[in-house]
Amino acid sequence: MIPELGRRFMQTVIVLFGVSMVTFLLMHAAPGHPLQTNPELRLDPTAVERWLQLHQLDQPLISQYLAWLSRVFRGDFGESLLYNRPVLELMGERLPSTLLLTLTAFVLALFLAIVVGIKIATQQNSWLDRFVCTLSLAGISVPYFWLAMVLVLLFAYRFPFLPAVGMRTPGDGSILDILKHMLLPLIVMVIANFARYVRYVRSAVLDVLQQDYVRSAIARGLKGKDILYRHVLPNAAMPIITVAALSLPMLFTGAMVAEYVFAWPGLGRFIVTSTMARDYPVIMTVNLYTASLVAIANFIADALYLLIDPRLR
Amino acid sequence: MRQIITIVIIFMLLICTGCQNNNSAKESSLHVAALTGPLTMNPLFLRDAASAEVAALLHPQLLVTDPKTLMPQARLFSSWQLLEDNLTYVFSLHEDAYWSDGKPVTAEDVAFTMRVICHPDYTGPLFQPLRYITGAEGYKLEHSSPYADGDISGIEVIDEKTLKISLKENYAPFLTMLTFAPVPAHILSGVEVAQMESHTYSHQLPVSAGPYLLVEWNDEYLHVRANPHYFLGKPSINNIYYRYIPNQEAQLIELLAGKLDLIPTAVKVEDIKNLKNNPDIKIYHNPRLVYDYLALNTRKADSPLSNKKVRKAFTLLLNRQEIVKNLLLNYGTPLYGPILPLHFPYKETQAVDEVDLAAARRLLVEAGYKKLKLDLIYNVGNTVRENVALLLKEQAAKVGIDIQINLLEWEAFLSAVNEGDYDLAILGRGVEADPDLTFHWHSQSRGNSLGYANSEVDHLLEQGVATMDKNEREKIYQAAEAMIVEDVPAIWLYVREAIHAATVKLQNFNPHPENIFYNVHEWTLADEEEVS
Amino acid sequence: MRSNLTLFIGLTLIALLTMLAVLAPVLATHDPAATNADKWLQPPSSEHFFGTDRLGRDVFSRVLYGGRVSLAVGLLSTFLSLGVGTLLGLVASYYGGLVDVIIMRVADIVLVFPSMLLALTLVAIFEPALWLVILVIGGTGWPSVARLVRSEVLRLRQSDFVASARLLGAKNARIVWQHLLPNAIGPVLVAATFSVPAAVMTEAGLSYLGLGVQPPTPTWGNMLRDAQLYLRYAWWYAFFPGLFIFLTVFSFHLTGEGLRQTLGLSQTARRNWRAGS
Repeated sequence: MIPELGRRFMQTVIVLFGVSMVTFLLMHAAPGHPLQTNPELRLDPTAVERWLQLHQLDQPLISQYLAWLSRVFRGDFGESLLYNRPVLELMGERLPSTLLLTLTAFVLALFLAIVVGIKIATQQNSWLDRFVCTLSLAGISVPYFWLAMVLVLLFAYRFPFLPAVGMRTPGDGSILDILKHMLLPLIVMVIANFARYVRYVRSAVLDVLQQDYVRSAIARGLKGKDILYRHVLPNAAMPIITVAALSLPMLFTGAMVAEYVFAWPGLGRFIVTSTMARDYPVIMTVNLYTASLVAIANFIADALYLLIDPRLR
Repeated sequence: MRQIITIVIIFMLLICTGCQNNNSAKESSLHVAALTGPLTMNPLFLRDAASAEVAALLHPQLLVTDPKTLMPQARLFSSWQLLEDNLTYVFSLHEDAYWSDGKPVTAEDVAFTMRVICHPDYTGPLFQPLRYITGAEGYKLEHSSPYADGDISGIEVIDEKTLKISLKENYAPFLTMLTFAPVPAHILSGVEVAQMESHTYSHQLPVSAGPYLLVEWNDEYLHVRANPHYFLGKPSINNIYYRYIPNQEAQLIELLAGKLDLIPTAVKVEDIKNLKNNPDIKIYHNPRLVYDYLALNTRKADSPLSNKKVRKAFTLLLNRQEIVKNLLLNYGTPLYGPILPLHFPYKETQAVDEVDLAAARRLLVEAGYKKLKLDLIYNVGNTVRENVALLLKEQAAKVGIDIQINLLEWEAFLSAVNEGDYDLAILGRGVEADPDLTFHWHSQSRGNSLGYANSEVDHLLEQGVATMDKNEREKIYQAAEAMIVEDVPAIWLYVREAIHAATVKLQNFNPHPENIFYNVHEWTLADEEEVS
Repeated sequence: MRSNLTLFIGLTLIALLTMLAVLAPVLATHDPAATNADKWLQPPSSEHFFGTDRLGRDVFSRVLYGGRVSLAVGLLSTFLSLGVGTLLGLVASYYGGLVDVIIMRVADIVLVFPSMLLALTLVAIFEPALWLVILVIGGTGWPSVARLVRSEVLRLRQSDFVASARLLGAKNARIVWQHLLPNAIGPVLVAATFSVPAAVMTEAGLSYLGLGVQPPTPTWGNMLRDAQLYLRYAWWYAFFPGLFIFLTVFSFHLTGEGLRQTLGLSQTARRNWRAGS
């Protein structure tokens, strides 16, 4: 099992290297650079040329890539072309807001999903089960930027007791204030995540319930609660944890569109705006960062899978 | 389960009652909306609208222009004098101007700032006016130290508060272009010019001298506080929060909820009807230095638009007064030439606005075109331009011109415009406070994206910037405008007004066409006295 | 029985929505591009079932035409990802060795790119257009299909009927086409019912950010983008495009659910869960 994990790890590293190269080539295949986007600024052509030189954007692609790679290996991810500040610093400042939102949404959604999922799995095909299943299908079908608009319209305009956008009232920033701002984006994200998780929890529990040892436990006359805590939960936990592990990247990059709609000052919005503005160093770092997170998440999921399913070894 | 529900309900109640609990308003605060956040606090590297807007809060401009007449006005330079040679200016700095660390703002600060701008490693947008200073171009080409040291012969520090600047040739727009702000030499003189943009000064702004001082800058808002030692007097509003909300609708929702006090510029014409009836909100509008026009691309090989008669036909298709009335709801002025209503040489043109389809048709036939097929591009998200395009298509169809509409997203639109890959385009253009037409209409200018070339116009424009007398300049520009209009390189459409929505509590708000914070130190909030 | 009902409802909805899109020219009450400056932002009425938009265009007609684009993007990109994914999955599983390793590593690289981020990047580079959106969504969807097909084939290869076919002397290609592919088709079909709604949603998201299919072509996403600036006094403008996105995505999910239950596929076979998308 250890060599198998090692092999997977090496594969992950190779994948990341590939990712960095693809991102770099893609970005630099784009015509233009951030300073070219607005002709009405009347930038002096010689100043623009000097700017390109200072940022080494006039070099051939391959040497740019190698320079970038060697800097990355030394832990230097460069400076944003727009903000003229280190990319990691900019990302670091935005990560806490993102985590606040995504972690809360994740914990709430997972908790609700586990509670509801177990309940409906033990009552398979009851009206409640059908209702929740249909509802969760509906939940993954709602375009959440649209849901966001509807919620803003309802709770920030028609019945204006919640703020429409942002994370803090400037000058306030108390916990209560942040909670108020969080509520709408949170609702959107909990709905989207709950709908996904509840289906996995339900089927994971159902899977276990159909196993022989559970059936024999029932046959032996064990009580429902004992079966649930002693047999079902420990065995259903692994697939659920796996799904949770695979949600890791989403937690650390934020829901891009949701952050954009709610003007949440997090990483997701930063990613969208930087990409639109062609801020190469930010895009490169963000892509590498996201890809690493996904690769790590997949690696953890793989490892968990090897742990729980010996047949895959 | 029931317990959980109870907890949730209590929690919700807490949140809702929290809304009513306004923090005690001992200090006046103004919440201003913006579509995007600033990128830098350094006044020498302003390349985007938000940074420029914020810079006006934090830094004192050397000179400003009058919002109505656009004539130069004193600011940090409290007075100036043009010597008899018409080339040498003597500027006095405001006696009470201090940096926030207590050091006086000196002539050396300004001289240093100008050296930075003239330095070969400077990448910001301010060099254009300074190239007329004696020795500036030489400094740009030959200065070899990475620091902004040494001397530029045309910049002379007379004493702590007096600066003499000599130009190598007459340049009439010079004063209206001295609207940038200086940086403190005692902080930055030890920094290489190439490193200046990413220096902490650009993001932390420890020292500045404007009406407001930076308190906090994050990814959500910018918080500034009144500068108690501002040389024009301490501003009356204590705090300004500049919030970035990319969605205009969300801005309006927040304004209506009382969480924003001012939405500058971004109010749509469609919203005005809705806002006007609201007793808590006041609508302001003022003309801008931006206009929309229809570009007729003559650069394509054998384009029918190279024929002046075809271009003339286009002048007969649109009624600009109707456009302003119906589409801009009168928040704008019809435009018939390149000089804007705010500029001193502007004269109202009468009755050129006749739609005459028969005459247009005749012109086309005379030019040898019975039928024409042209494409028209414009960018997404501008309802007025979209409507003008549709109107033009309809009118053109009546005279035998088939217009193919191509709606493009901003980036794609820009590249099509830059590459000249279109027949017709609806575009916007920004102009300077000085009526100088060189940037867009001189055949050698890089801003001349239409490729317009007329040697007589070139000559007049060169004469225009070299003439210091205002009355003479007025005649020169009117003559140049007449020639340009006669050549029909474009169809001028309208100048749109900037529309601002503010709480009725805001007083003395007097936005400048280029700067909403023009007189921010004079703004007050009406209920301030009642509260404190 | 219940699964059949789910399947039935899902398929009926799909049929209905497809019909609306295909018959848009017949059903539309107005030209979707026809503007009317006197009728900005009119609420729903007997003349304009879903009201009018900021240029006085009929929202009902635009929603119908928008459905054509959304469904076209959904279906074409799904065909693309299914085609490429099935082919590469078969090739990888059948030849194994280096071919398998290379294909699966490329799949990994594509898979670790969150599709939204990749789409953002690509659209920032090239000009946004319909074909690009289809290509981006289809091009990022194939690895999960390839993985699915590969694992199915590997599983089936061990099974008795392949072994017996081999004993009977069947050729490799024949085994693949006659035995492996038909048996792998079930899971692939289920994957398709995930892929179409995901594509519809991604297209809507991209168009909403202004990076998708470009106006004046109406799509549900760019209608929402327009509508968000008129939210306060024109609810219909945003409501109906959103409703149709929901209905479309929902109908495919229902179908997928029904199909999976009918085919007796377990939901925990989630090796192909797409993280980050």
